[in-house]
Amino acid sequence: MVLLAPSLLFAQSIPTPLQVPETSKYPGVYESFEKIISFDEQRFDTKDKALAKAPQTIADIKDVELVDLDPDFMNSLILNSPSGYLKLASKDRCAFYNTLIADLLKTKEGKVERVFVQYQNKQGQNITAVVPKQDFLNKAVLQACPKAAEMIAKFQIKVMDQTINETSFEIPNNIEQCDLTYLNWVNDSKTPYWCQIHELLVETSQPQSVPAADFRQKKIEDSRYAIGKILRGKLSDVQQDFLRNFCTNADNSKTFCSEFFATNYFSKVVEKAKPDIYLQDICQQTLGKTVWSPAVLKECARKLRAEQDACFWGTHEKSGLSPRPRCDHLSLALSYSSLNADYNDCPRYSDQMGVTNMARVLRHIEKQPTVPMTGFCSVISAGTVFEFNKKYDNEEIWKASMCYQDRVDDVEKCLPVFFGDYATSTASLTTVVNEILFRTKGAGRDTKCTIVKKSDWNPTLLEYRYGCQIVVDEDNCGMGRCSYKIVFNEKELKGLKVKEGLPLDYFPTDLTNERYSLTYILQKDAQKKMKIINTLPGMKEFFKTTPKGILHGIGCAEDLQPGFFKKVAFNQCSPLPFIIDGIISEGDKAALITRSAADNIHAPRLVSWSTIYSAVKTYQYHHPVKQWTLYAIY
Amino acid sequence: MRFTKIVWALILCSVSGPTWSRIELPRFAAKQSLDNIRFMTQDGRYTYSQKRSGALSMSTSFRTSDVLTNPPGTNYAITSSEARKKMVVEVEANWHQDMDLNKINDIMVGSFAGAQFAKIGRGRYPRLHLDDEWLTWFDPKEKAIHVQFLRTPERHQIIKLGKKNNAFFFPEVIMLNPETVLYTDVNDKGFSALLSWSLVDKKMTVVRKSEVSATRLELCRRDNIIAMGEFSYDDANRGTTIMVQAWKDAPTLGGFTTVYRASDNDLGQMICGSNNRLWFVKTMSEDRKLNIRQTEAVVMELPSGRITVKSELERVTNLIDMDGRILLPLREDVFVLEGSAGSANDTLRNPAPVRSSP
Repeated sequence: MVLLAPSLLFAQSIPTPLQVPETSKYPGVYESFEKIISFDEQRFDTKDKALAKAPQTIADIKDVELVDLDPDFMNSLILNSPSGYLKLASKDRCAFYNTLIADLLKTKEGKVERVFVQYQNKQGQNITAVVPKQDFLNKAVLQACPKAAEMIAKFQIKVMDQTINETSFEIPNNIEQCDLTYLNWVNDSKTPYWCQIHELLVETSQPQSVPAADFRQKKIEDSRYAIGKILRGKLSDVQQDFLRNFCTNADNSKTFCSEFFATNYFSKVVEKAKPDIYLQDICQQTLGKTVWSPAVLKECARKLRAEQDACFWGTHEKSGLSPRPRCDHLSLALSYSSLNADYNDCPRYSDQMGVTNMARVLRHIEKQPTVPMTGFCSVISAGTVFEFNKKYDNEEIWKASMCYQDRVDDVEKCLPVFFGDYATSTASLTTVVNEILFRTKGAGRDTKCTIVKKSDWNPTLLEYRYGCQIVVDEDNCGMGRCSYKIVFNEKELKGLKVKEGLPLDYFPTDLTNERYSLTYILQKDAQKKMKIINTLPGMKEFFKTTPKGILHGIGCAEDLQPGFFKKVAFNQCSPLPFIIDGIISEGDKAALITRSAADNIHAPRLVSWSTIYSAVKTYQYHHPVKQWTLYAIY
Repeated sequence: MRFTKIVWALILCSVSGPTWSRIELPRFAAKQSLDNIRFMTQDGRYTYSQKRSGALSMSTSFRTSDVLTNPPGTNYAITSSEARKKMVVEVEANWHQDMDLNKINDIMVGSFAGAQFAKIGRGRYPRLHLDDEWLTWFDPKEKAIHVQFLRTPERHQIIKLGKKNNAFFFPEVIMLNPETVLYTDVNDKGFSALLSWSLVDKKMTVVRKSEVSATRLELCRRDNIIAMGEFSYDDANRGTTIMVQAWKDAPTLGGFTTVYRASDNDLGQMICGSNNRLWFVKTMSEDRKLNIRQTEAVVMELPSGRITVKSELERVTNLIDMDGRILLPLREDVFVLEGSAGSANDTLRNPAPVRSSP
């Protein structure tokens, strides 16, 4: 086993000597820190001189578990080591030894080369000795903590890639998740070795300082810089940044976490720590560019950091409730948001907010693969919810359908449909139209209709002269209704009846039909746990225990978003579903990261608890069974 | 003994409460559950209620009758104007199942406090104008304002709005006179504008365009006042401006005078009340970092511009004008800012005592 030579990793750092006091007795309770350090140094030197007179090899240790560090040596470590690393060392004996092996602790001499120990030899005598660190490691540490050898082996260059893959450098999405990440790292035995790597990277980022004449030292330094270069190539910028943040703030979880959330979200996107889909829409609108590239992203992020208004507007197709939040609020909200949102769902084309919201919930709790889609991007919501209901034998709730007269059975048959194509769903528009053409017009099974937007439709073009096209009016289309026409072999198809509309129960509205509601299926059939939340402490507790959890609910739009929706009549209430996926607390104030179903999925808003409570309470007041409609899902 | 009296006096003084006055708003009360009510006249004689069967019923003089029948799940929104000659009912099907913010409802008009209603069109936010002779409503699917003269069905015009980013924009509309419609719109860059439509020439004119984007305009009109407020959307930090145009029998719109300007993100919800009073929801304090606001209902006296805070609830979001009563709905409660608070008392007066025969 080749030890990753710790001695190669550190430059000597000897502090400037302080004025030695006249006496070496420890001062009283109230004394300056500088004096305490100077007393400690004097005692260290005195002990060192005394122990040098009787060198030991600790070959005759009776019991490695009973080996202790000399108190003066320990004091020196405590006073001279960074507090973050002391925190890592304080967990237990083996954690302390790991930190010592990783050269993170220092005495007044700087890097630890010698260790003052106290032990009992095989003759039963109590011995205090100064021993080389390597001896101490081999004869005491590795005997007492055999796993330390495994740790050292994991951080050899040849297996470094595997070690990096096995370690999570995930950027937390909210404070609760961050606290968990912090605790995991503090308690992980590998952490001191990661911090050793961080220290090496910091050191080797500075120019080399050893003169060429000092051949031996120069060789050591060259070796260190070579290792640093290799490690820099293996660790990504995000991982190096993570290590820098943790190792610098290992003793303070608040400082560690604030680094993630204080840093502008847009910078994280540029650094590839967050997906760029969150900014694509805003950037293309604000810069007026249709082509997307890293250069465009960089330019855009710079603009969003500088101009608060730049985040207000997205592209027409993907916009929902506009204007969106201003840039600093958007950055703050996205930093604390945990909703899986790596897609667009175009709420402007949604004619059933319950479907849009439930699709967001489903795609968060069950990671769903990307599937081929055609038509408006709102079809992702329709397809997700339809397939979910079909899976649990509840597709009857999908009321939008296309009907035809079956000639064989001489009855009207209706097929559920949504206006767009989603994977191979049986309710995809082209699938339904193909089926109807086969049944009524004698078209072949291989007939494939295509969806064409009205603005692109040109019947004189050769591609539209034959076959089947479904021309949709993009200004007048939703999921369950659409202004459209079907052209089959250049003739417009008439006589197809469409039952428009998608009325469904998000939460149950009566006991008779309770089992057909979306939340009932989610809870009973899909076995997802839901818990009622009606207080702010309850919500805080939920996010603390389930950092990636979300809440969903329904409130009156006029109370949830009074700036956008106005009450003009008594007891007016427009039900609007929403999702809460994070919380920011400052003192006794809290802002909730909220997306109504009408908001663009990448534009969460900061909403106060009192607003959420008012909206849900007012909706409860109007609800047929007075249901409280705010639940946590976990 | 004397010492004990002094101690009691001190204790009583300390629990008597603060010496400053607290705003205690009366709660709106009715003889039935408030969540069923959809409209009540200012004298309380006529009440329109939602029934579980889906019907709209009217109660007066201890009699109740269904004025509209529809399937269960139907909801009604009823509005009127200061002229008190007609009422408008918006009939919303599948209230809790069809969660489409741009859904279109049936619009019906009838006599004020009447029991007969006729369907006029389909859309949202219907509004009566000019002595209840005209009706406007908005079609969110077509993005068009409909203008209808109620006496003559043929006199109907449609005003198309421009393309915009906000898919859920609803314009404010008032009529200046039988030839001119004032309405708000926003363009695809987010700039709001007050526009004027001539029903004679069928042409649009820009009356006033916002200097900054991300604001919304509110309009209201009562007696001889037209008020226009420009309010900030959510956290846009554009401040607030309220302008008033004092107008009486004028054929065209004159200039606006600014009566209020603030850097706060006031909520708006403007209502032109009686006696030259303007109600709106004002932001009293704001944490701009977390986007948290404390809002109250205020009233502005015109033309002085003096503002009085009328509530102490910290989270006011909406104001409603129901036949001259200015109401403040908050969660399960409805507070009365102006007008009678109504009564929940159902007791009949005792009959007069019987006179004994001589």
